[in-house]
Amino acid sequence: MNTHPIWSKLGTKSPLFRSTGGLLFGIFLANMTVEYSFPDIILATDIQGQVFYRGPVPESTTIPITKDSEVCGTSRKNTPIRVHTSGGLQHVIISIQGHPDTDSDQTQDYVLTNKGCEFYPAVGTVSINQKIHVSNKDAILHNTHIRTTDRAFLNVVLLPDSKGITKPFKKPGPMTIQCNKHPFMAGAIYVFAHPFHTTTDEQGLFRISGLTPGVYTLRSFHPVLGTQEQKVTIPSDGLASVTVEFSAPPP
Amino acid sequence: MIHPPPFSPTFLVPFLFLSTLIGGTTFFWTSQAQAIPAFSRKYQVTCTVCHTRVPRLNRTGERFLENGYQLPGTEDGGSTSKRKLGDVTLDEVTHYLGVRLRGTPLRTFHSDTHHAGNSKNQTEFTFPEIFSLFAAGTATNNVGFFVELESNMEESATAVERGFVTFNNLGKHDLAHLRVGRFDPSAFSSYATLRQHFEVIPEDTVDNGSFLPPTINRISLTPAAFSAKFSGLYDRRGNAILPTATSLFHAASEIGIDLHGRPFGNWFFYQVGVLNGANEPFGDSNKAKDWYVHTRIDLAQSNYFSANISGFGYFGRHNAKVQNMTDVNWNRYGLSANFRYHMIDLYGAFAIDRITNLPDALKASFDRTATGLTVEANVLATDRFLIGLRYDHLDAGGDRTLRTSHSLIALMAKFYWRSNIAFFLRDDVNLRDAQGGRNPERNFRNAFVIGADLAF
Amino acid sequence: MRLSLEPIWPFNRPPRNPGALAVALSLTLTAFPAFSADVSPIERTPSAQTGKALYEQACAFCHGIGGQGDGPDAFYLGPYSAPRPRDLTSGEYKFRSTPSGSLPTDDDLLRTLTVGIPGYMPSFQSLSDMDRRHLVAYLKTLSPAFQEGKAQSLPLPPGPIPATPESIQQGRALYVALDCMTCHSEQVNSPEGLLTQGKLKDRRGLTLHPRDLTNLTSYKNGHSPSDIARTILTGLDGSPMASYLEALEPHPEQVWHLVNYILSLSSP
Repeated sequence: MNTHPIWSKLGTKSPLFRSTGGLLFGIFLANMTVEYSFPDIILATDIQGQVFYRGPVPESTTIPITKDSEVCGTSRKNTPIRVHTSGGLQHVIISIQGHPDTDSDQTQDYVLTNKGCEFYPAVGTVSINQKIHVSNKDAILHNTHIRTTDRAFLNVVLLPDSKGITKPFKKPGPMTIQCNKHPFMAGAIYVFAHPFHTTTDEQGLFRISGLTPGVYTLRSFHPVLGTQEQKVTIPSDGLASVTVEFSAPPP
Repeated sequence: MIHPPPFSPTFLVPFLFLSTLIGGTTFFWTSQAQAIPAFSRKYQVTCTVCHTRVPRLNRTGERFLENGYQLPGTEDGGSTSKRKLGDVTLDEVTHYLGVRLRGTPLRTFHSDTHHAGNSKNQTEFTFPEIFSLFAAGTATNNVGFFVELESNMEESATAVERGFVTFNNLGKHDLAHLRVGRFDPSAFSSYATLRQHFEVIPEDTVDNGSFLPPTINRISLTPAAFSAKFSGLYDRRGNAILPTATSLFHAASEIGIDLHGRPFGNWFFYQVGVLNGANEPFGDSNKAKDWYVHTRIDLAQSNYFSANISGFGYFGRHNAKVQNMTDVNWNRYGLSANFRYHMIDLYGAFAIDRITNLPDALKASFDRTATGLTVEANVLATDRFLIGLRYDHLDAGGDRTLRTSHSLIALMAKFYWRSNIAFFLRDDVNLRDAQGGRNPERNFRNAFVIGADLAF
Repeated sequence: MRLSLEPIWPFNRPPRNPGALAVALSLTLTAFPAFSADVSPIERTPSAQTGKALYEQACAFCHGIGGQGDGPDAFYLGPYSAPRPRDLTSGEYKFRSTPSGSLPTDDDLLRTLTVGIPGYMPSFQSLSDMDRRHLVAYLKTLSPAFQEGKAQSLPLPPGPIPATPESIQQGRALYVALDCMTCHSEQVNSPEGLLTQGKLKDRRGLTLHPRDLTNLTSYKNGHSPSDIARTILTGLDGSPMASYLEALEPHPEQVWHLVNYILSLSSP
């Protein structure tokens, strides 16, 4: 398929076509069926879906907290696999692989907050050149230690209610977040070299916007359950829907 | 005739019990090494920068030694941690003086003359047996020195065991290093005589005079590859050379000149040397010299892995005498190898000893060839706990009526309280059947030893 | 390899001992060229290739031939607990003057090579300054991270300041406020500090012992006031020691009070 430069530009670069605008425009086009068609013009559309978990849910473990209990509480539930009553799986990192457009126009900082001795958001995705802003909203000292697979990205101590630290992401890949002072705190960030990524919400739902029609690989990554890939087709005339299923974790 | 198993498991019970006890305590040990011997003090690094575990050297330690007590790749002898006073540059005394104290507070030997149906247990308390004072370091760039004064309380002897000067990096870095003096030829070998985790436990003998075989009550636990291997061999003064004595390339010290280097980079090492030989003191009575060659190939330098294999040949000339007081040439050829991967250190040596120039009269009664094989494995089970296993096989030569081959296996548990202070338990077992008569190689059944090795 | 550096002289460095030379000459191991008093200093830029040859002689036994910290001696240095030699391919360096998560500067690498790491890495002061710069050039080829660009040193606040009792007192207050005793417990007898014993891990998952601050000469990143201030502000990447840059930002000069208190811990 040939892509007219202007559409490709609009479809991938403009925030309007990226998100709801693109979706509405897609629906609009879908309704204009017979009379007129745009065979060579590709519009950006979205993909939405839900991730389900069908395996046995391991019981949460409780970690006792002995340090800074006035802020952090006395115990913390550790739920490595978070499943909604609907069966939806939270904290799955979804990305579209193989999309020709890789430039991200995401200029907003990725805000990571230490609050109530938890990282908010616990799991998130960012694009290269986006900046992270780490801050501490608790009345105690926190230490945010973010690591790539082979290297420290940031290991800083943050005072209560501090203004925080900002740093750009330069390399794609997974990162873990820890607090050396409060070892029960944990989080993850996944850095992508393209803009097509998100995480699933509590119900396992996700949506990625701004895709041009085509066949791509949808990659779903869960830290415990591993990685799954499936082919998805983004039609030129509407919204793609997809269902991802994870079964029991590998032994 | 069927004999009972060569060793009874009951001997291993105290060994295993104590090993477990010692091994267990290491898990609760968290403090770090504090005391450090001379080079450690000089370079401000822990012992394990140069030793896998004291006394065995790691690759850095080997190269430090080859380079004349200078860091590998450098010629730091004139400067590191030294002070200038006028036109002399001086090291602090603590940077070149060290002491080592070692011994076995407890030894229990069990021997058994099976046919006679009697057995003998002998327990000794001996500590410390050996006290060594070292002075070693660099006088200036590329000039090193080493003096070791050893006081052996068991032998009531104090002597300069080793003393030599080194001239390093002659011509080009690592091209040639020279040692002149009284040194151990096997120092750069994959399996060096003086760097054994299994300390040599000396023999118990009664000397019967010149050119007479001594009465051996108990054999020495020397690696078979390093030992003399022959019965009925005498040095040039008529003293019997015991079949288990370290000798030739593996002598603990000989006087001579030694040249070694790595002219083509890390992978290839050469060593050639000329010695007075046969444990000759000053004033060599035999003007003929012994000489040796040793080459070593080093492989692999990553993945926590390294290996090397070396070949050596020692060519003696009139370096021993036989019963009828005639000179013979005593030679040794062999291979040694070392394989190190993660916590495993596996090494061994195989040596063939051969006597040439044997008088015709003795050719029928004297076996001119003997071989020895020693294989040792060390495993670091925790940061402080080392397990060692050694196998020795001696195919003895010499006087056919006296010579006896043996096969021994030894197990050791060594606990490093600090990286320079170790305590060990060791059990040596004779794998061969007990036999009648007074043959010490066969009567020996088992030795249990508790020892300590401290260096400051 | 190294010979090519000093084409005029067969030794790497001008000889300092005529005795050694005499022996060398008498042995006539190699044909000696004419004596020259000294090698004239030639302007050179650091060469990674020369550095590689030096690296293979002096560094590879610990850091591995590929720089992954997996040399044949690496395991025996820290079999089951930290430290092991640095993985030079990761781009992660403990001893920097740059912000947390950044690459070290050339001077940082040169400093570590020159002073060594007490207890674990000898000083390579005996190599010439140029040789050490060759090594730095080679080290930077081992990790692709150095292609990302250069990191800037953090400026230290003006100081150090005199270790008056007031300053030490303020430093002690900071030590408590910044929760230093969580790891470096001994100094204030915090029972919490003991909880971290054996629980702190390095990047390889090996147990790591927080520095005993009462043993000044064992400080791996140096023990001068500036060294300590730099360590506090930059953190030690790869270990749990974090950067206190942001925490001290409102009053950066306070770092000197903390330094004075830490120094006071080891004074008799």
